[in-house]
Amino acid sequence: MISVKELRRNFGSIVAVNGASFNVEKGEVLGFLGPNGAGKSTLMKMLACFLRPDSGSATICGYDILKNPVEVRKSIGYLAENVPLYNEMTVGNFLNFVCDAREIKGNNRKQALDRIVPICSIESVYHQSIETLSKGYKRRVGLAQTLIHDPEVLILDEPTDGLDPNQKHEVRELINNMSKDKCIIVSTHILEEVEAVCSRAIIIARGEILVDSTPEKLKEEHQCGLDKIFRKITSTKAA
Amino acid sequence: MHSFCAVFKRELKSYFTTPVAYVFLVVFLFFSGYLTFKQGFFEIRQADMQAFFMNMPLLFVFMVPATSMRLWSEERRIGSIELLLTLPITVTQAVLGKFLAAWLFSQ
Repeated sequence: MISVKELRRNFGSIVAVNGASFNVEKGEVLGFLGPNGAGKSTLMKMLACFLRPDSGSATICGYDILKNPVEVRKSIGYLAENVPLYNEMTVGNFLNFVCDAREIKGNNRKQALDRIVPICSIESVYHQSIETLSKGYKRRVGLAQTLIHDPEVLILDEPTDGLDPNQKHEVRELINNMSKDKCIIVSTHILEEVEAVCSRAIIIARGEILVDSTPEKLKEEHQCGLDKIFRKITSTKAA
Repeated sequence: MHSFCAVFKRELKSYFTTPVAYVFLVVFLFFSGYLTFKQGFFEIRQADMQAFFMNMPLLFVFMVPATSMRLWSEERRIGSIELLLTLPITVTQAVLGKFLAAWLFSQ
């Protein structure tokens, strides 16, 4: 469903993503791992058609990210790292705005809202303005925005960051439940999360893909925990 | 078309959810009245609005940036531009939506 070919992106003289290629199929949950500044977020932003790659191409659900960005955006749900929301709006107004923009109308909208609000447990703050919410609630609203149109492809940049342990658990459950008929890319720093939700893991450092494997295989090959593997791979090759 | 309406509606609403818009409107009204009557509107003894329209350009010099300059810079500052441009909206639709909202507000 997602196929990425030689994506490359520089910021001035800094190489953020240096020729990344991979494929993700339906039913897979792909975890992006990597130290800070590795290029995870840049790669995700390019897939969400927010940044233009300098070279290379990618297709999502058969649509090219350069030639057909609007179709791509229709079929993905993207949760950005810092969860941008419109602070002056109430949660309800904000979700309605997203529905407007995504052309979810009438009965469909009611169904979508009835489905998504309990999933993200934001009933209690539905009429509150977003700027008064705590970080965790903001993230839940962001998640609701991402899932409202029931997209085939989900791109989540650190979805559990800032959530309390219960919520983290719930988000992981949510990802697990959805993984069967969706294609999900998650970036994270929390290695236990990779074991909990991901069926495949890609380790990135300095804009290059170093490892593309499953968490189980990685552990088998290296005979140690994921955090040790992570340190070994990213520190030796980055040095 | 729908996504254009969504941006338009959101922008227009956002003017009125913050007090800033009201402040600018009141200040604008006050000065348009003040500048009209200041130069002896009644003493001229002519039924024309020239005094009013002469001062409009000067007032708009302040009013227009006040309503329009935050449209994109605010999105950038909060980071919500990342949200806006990853919704299925083209840049043209977003620009038009914002422009028309600001235009209608200034009317």
